[in-house]
Amino acid sequence: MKREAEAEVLLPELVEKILIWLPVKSLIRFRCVSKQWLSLISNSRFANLNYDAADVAPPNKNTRLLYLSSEVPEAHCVDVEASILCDYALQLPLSCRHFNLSILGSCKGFILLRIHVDGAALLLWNPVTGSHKSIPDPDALFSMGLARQLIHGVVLAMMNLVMII
Amino acid sequence: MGSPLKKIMLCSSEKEIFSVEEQVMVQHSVIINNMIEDGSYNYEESKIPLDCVDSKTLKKVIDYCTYHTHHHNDNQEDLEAWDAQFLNVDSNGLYDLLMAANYLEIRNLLDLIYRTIKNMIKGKKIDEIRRILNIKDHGFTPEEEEQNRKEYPHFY
Repeated sequence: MKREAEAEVLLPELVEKILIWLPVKSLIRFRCVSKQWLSLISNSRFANLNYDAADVAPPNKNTRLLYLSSEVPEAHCVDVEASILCDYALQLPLSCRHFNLSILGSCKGFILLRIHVDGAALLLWNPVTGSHKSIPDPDALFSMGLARQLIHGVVLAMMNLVMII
Repeated sequence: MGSPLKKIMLCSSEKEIFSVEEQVMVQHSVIINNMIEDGSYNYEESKIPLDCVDSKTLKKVIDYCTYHTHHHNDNQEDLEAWDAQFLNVDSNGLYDLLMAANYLEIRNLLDLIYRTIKNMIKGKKIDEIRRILNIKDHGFTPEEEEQNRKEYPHFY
């Protein structure tokens, strides 16, 4: 075998099989490894594979904290377990950067955001890929009371519906 | 399933011939299992050509399949210890094994290699991952790369 070109030919399907087992924490970073990895990780098919793998993986201790800073709406991610306290900003969806926001809930790494503007849609946001989908008519949801189960239900339904993010 | 006494011939990229118990390969390699089952392998004449697998790698693959055939009743801990020792190779060796296992469709070996590589890169910085996996051409434009480094300096 020619040694020179080896890793260049690490086939995408093999990379994919390695990456699906990695936690979201690693995937956020691994988008910067190469264009190939970025497009793999951002692919909706991959998100589903990773989502399935997360289900069978042993429950991992999630020690990351995601919060919104209030003055300038900005999402931050802190890894509580990291040896050096590392806090980095995540890119919020463009459509909500200039408004007051709150996090309504989260499920499987997806975040449900509320924009505090009358009639604004809710946003289901994937902090890993940065992509999002809006959920129109949030009033109907609010009238039912946003219970934890409901948020999970909304997130799961959206994922099945659009195979997003 | 073939008889345990039957042997099959595998031919490496250097044209070296390896004689292996049929059952060992049939149990592990989907490709070889299919060849035996559909009768395309002739015990008198056939040598299965593995042009993309060198002798050193083929020998390791055969070792793996042989060990796991004869020790499948061992306790899990012993098998895992053996596997860890088996995969204690440099990254070139690991890469060759990955390609061979992928070509021969040896699923348990593939899973083992995936897990090993996953553990090698988990928690690593971008520059380290590129070095470990020998990724020379990341495909980003210099501007994109600079932008990423500026935006996420702690990733690198």
